[in-house]
Amino acid sequence: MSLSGSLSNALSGLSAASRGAQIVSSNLANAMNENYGRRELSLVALGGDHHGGVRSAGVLRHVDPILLADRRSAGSTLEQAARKSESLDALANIVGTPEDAGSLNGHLRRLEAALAYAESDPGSEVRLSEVVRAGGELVDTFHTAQDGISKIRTRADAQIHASVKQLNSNLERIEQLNAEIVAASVNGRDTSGQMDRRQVLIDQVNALVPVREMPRAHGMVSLVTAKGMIVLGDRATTFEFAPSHTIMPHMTVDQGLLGTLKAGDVSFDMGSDRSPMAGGTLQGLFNTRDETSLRAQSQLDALAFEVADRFSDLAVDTTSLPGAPGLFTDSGARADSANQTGLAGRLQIHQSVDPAQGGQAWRVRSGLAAVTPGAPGNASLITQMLEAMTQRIAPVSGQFQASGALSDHAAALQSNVGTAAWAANQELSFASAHHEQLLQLQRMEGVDSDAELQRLLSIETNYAANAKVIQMIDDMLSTLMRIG
Amino acid sequence: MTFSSIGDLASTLMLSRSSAQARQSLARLSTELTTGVTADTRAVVRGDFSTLSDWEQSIQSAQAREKTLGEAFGRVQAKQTVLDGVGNAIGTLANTISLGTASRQKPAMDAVAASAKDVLGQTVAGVNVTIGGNTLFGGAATHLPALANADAIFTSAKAAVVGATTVSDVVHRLQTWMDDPVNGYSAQAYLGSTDDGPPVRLSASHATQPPGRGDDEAIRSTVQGLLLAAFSGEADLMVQPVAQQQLLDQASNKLRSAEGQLITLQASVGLAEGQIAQAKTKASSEISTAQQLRLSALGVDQFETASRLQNTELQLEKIYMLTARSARMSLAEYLR
Repeated sequence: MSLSGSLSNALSGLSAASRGAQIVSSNLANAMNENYGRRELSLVALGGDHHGGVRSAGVLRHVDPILLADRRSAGSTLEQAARKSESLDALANIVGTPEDAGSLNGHLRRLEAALAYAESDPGSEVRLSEVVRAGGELVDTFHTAQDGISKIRTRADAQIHASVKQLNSNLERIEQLNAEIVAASVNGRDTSGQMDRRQVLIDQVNALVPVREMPRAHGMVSLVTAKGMIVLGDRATTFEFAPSHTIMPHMTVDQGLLGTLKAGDVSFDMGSDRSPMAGGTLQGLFNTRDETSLRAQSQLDALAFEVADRFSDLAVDTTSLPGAPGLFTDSGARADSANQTGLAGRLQIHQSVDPAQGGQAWRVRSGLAAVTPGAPGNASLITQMLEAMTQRIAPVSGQFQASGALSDHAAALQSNVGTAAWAANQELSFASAHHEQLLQLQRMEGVDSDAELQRLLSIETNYAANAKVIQMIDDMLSTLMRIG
Repeated sequence: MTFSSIGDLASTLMLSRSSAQARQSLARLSTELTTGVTADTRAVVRGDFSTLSDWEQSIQSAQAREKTLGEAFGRVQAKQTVLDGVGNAIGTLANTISLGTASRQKPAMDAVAASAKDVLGQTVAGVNVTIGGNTLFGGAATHLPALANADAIFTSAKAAVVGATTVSDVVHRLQTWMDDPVNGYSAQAYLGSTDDGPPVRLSASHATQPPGRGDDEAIRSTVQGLLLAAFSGEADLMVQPVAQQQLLDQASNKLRSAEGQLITLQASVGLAEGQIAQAKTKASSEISTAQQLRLSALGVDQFETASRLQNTELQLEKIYMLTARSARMSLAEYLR
């Protein structure tokens, strides 16, 4: 009968309206949630063997996949640029800037000034001790710088380890969610909540290594890296990484002394931009550990070698044999250009002038192996040391190009790190602006509380209308009933 | 119901980022206003520190050089004073000798001999001048006096000439003593070193050795002349007044030539003084040039910074106002 048909239509309208209200309430509750896909009710008119009415066909989850993919790709670029910029900023802090009196440059200048004062009055114990002290502090600065670089590398290594663990656990959870979504979708249940959670997890994986979603049947996804490797197909790939607890300057990946990223039998070369796992935080951290820090380390060692070399084989020092170490030694021995790695940490002031090691400051004037103090007005060795520091000669360590004084080589070290840090900062600000733009576009697709409230008003009216229809039909039926 | 909408989070993102940026600007501009130099050196030089390092290097090495040149100037001036004094003394003595020999009286010539001994004492004291505990005329041996004391010199020299019979013999024996490297002037009278003392650094690449050592010709001739004059009063050497007068004449000649040599020495010491003064001026101008260059590269204009600071403050106020207004502009407010 058409009256009961109208009743069932009105009831279907009521249930659609309440379903609509439920979705509006869910949207409003998640208005502040960044990872929420705005839901919308999809309604289908009933026809055929029904008398009309409406059925909710399901919940639509609004996500723009292209925008999402773009934003993710910008996001992983941002993460990689951020890791690079962070590490270069830290390295730039370690090597310092020229106007900083505590930097390598500052201590070289202090040593030069101490030598100049000692040259003017070579008999003064005070001035000679100041030379020894300035030399000692220069050596300490080298040690501190090397420690700083090793710490950066060790920290990067530990972060890689933590990131790989996170990657593995995220991939496993995405695999589980895939299974849940398929099961729910096949049975006709709403999968939006699980998809939201899966989107969050994929974003986290993307921060570590850039991935693209490949949609498959029933709401499943596969994850493929930007360079074409499948990390999640039917099963999640498990990655391995062996951490090193303390990293010394001579430990490099090439020598097999540091861990690399592996998946089963396959080992990934994280230094190459064509590697399947390139991009993202992981590559950024490997880059920090294996390239930028190592480059800074080798330049620091080269500067240490220049310092040690310039003070060696000074012709005026007749007490020392040729080949003997000069004022700065490699743990007591002569610094060798073939053994530069880690020299910055091994550099020492010659024990014969250091009072802390039983030496005498007057040997700065008289010669490193001198037995007696000699004439106190003889400044020839000090003059030669001063000239060795300020002479513009070609570097012997193989890292610096231009001829210059010791302070010029120190400035070259600071400039190398400084220009790299500045360039990395520029890249970071560009990547950050790009990512933010895409994030903004993505957010515009999110929940708009004004629109939801307007919708709620319409739903309220609609509900009232359907309820009125039921009331009217009820009156009509009662009227019919009263006819007998 | 499909109509276009804009997500809530989009506008909050933009406003929060703008306000964070404005506050960062504010902090940086405040620091720059108070210190007068840029807050981020690396950004100004774009990471290339070579010129900055050159300036710092110039400033510090020029400052050290200024101080050491000041010390050197003091030393060279002291030397000049001593040489002046010695020159005057022997000039006066030469005149006195002329008067003495003209009179041919033994007492007068004895008095001249005695005053020659005094002048020897003064000369030795002058040449042994120290500054800060360091002897100036001793070469590298700055811890020892340059010359032995006057009595020791006199005794050693007299031992060499005793037994001479004629005046020329005395002169000849004294000359031998002056030239003797083992038992003569170089060993018994001059106690300093033959190595050069501390140099004077005039520039980063150039250091000179100031002239004047106790074994220079000028000092030797002075001492030799004074010894000859003093010997003329020794009774066991000179018996006749004629011999005394002849010896005094020889002494006077030697002293006159020593005077000439001293003037030459003083000229070169004066040249060194001039060089040092010039180098000191050059060093201070180097310092001020480098400091000015550094300030022009890294400094910030106070007025410009102050006006930028004010603009940033206004911008921040506008952002706050927009944030407050847009929070009120939502349908929920009006449905209350």
